[in-house]
Amino acid sequence: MTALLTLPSVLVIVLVLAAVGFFLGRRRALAASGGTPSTLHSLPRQHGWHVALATAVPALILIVFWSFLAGLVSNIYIDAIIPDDQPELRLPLEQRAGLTEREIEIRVQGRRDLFISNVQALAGAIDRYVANGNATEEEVQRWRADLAPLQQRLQRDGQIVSTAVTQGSLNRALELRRFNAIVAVTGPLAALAMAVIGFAVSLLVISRDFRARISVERWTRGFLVFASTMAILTTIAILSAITLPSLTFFREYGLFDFLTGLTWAPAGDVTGVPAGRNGEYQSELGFLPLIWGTLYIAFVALLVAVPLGLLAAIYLSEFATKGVRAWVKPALEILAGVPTIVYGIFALVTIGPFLQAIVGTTIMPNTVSVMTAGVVMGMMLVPFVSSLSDDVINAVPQAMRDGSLGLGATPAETVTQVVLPAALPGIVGAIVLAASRAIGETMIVVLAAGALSNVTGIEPNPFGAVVTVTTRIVAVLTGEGSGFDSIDVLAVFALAFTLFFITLGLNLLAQRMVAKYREQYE
Amino acid sequence: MNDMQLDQRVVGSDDIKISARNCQVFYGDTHAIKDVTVDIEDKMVTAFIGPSGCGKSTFLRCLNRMNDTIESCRVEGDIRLDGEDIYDKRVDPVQLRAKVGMVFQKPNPFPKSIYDNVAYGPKIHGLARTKAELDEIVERSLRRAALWNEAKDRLQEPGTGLSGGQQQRLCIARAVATGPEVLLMDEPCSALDPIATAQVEELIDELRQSYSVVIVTHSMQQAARVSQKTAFFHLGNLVEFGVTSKIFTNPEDPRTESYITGRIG
Ligand SMILES: Nc1ncnc2c1ncn2[C@@H]1O[C@H](COP(=O)(O)OP(=O)(O)OP(=O)(O)O)[C@@H](O)[C@H]1O
Ligand SMILES: [Mg+2]
Repeated sequence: MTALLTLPSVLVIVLVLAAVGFFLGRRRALAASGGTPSTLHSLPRQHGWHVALATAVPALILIVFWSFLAGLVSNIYIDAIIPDDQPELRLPLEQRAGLTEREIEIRVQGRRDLFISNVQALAGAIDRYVANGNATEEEVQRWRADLAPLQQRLQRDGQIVSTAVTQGSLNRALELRRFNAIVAVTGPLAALAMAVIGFAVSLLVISRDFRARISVERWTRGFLVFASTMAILTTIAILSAITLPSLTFFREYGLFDFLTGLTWAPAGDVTGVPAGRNGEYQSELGFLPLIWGTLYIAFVALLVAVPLGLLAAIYLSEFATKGVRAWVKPALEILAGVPTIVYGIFALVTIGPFLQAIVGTTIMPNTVSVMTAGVVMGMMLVPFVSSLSDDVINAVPQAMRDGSLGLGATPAETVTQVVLPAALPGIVGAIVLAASRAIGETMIVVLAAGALSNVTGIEPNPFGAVVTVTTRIVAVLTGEGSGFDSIDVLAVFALAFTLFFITLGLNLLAQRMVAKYREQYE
Repeated sequence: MNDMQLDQRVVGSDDIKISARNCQVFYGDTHAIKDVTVDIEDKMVTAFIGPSGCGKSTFLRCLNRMNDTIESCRVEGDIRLDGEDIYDKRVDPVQLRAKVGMVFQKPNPFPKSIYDNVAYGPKIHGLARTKAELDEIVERSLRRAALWNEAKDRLQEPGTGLSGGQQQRLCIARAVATGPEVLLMDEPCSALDPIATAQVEELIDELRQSYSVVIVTHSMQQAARVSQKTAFFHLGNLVEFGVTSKIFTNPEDPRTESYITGRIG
């Protein structure tokens, strides 16, 4: 029975029920008409659709919401069941020394957040352990932290459990699992109930005068509205997924320390950590080196991409003949479709050694550097800049060019003095968009800027390796020894969070500029 | 030229400024202008009339090679300015357009200030050596286009912020500022109120003292008021060309007559 009550199987049941409802509804409508369908207000087919939609739509919406909300509810639950005097939360005396009341409070709160993510990780690990057939549910309920080396047992099965399992965390994890099990059943059950109610009611209301056509219209509209809000909901979901851990991190590490820290050296990282540093709070997680590296590379990339892309766009839209355009534009667009990993390889094996050969190994000790990544990223952005600017330049009305040419200006004067100034806001918008892509770009910088280098601070040399926001996210998440509950991983969420807002801000800015510009010529 | 005796306003000028012989224009496969032969005289206003789509703008654009900017457009025949073939390979269309200015059917001010719009041509052609000279050209041009009073206090505001009619006068001022020898005007008054129209017509009359003006218009009255010669186009053909008063009072071709009396168009 419970096997049937998972969201996917309920989904199938609901759809089948809706299909059945369609045929039943049509039959009932025909029957209600007494053999003369023309006496019905709506066509039998519309009655059928009405039943199908009334069955499926509310249930589907519920299923979607449930998939979002179940996690949230479970988060709230775990927070509620952990009492303040949970032994794991207590701060050892030697760590309290010399701290103010407030500082202790912050640290306790940090320990609480850490404990919660430990419990959640453990519960998940046990879930998968059971699902892999290593233990039955009854056995798990009898587990005790002190009897068997649980951590090793789970790890042998491939589960990530980075901190030792205490009796407290085990109890809470088991409690959480029981709650999750209930939540997992209620959602599908409610969806099923809704489908059945919709099915029954909509079948019952069928009569000669029932206005099924209008109802169908309404259901359809509702469903479309729902579908379009999904896109927004997804964004919100992504945001909420990274917001909570980020806030936890900010509270634990300190927002100010994060934003102004000059060193990035996570304790769990494979490289770049001085020996003897393994306590969780000893990671140094300063944001400045990362944003420095990111912006430095983006700057070099734009230095390459903007002139080349813009000139290409001007040539294509103002000077190229139809024939040239027909070849070059698709070619540029293909270039834009090359996977970034390919650019990364190109940077690593070709551009890096090439640059090193030119400037020498004293200035450029490694083939990976700001220039290597920046130049190649610039090449990647050329088609992006040129195709966006091309659109913008093409949007400048022909009448503007005619006006200038008609006064005896040369094509070059027309471009520089009339077309480009007119297109400027749009071009700036395109550049901002390119900047936003450069900042979020991952693969090229991972390969070409020094993903595994031991740089921890701000590197001013353009031929030196740097750390960037995206490479550090990759390094921490794929590095050894960092479970999903350490401070380093929380820091990664904070990085993602910051990155999200930087790119969001840039994209909004670009959009506004381009929109304003389009307005001008409407 | 016995036409001249019919029109007293023409004062002794029978110099041909532009002469077109057997001019054909194609847009791809569309034959838009068919074998048009016409002479445009100096210091005189020539009006092009005809129903919409008959090729007035197309022919006008041939006279300063603006059709070069349309890729599908092909011009055949012989068009001469002061006896020189303007479609000759050695002729620079840029220089030609400096001599043959144009005001377009739709106002198209640049997204610059009013001042910069008017100063654009003079700056490009180096007509002013000092700022004061440039200021003077701008003022004179704006006055001639009857826009000075409205614009003198807002010279630094964008030209696109003017009303449609003001924009059109700005475009006229812009064309006049370059000091062309021939001015082509494509329906310059279609967006103007009667007062501004009268001012522009006055300007055209004044320009006639020194330039040759070609004007496309849909208003018979306007053609009759401002022009000395009128050309009637129909379906790409030049149906009739002659002294304005004669075209309007005693047309030779039945198509001309039905057009000016409002039966085709
Ligand atoms: N850029 C173009 N491409 C293709 N065909 C064109 C183009 N411009 C004009 N034509 C065609 O050439 C013919 C003449 O057009 P033109 O604009 O010269 O007419 P017009 O006499 O100026 O009309 P109106 O009084 O409406 O301005 C029309 O049939 C038009 O469809
Ligand atoms: Mg026209």
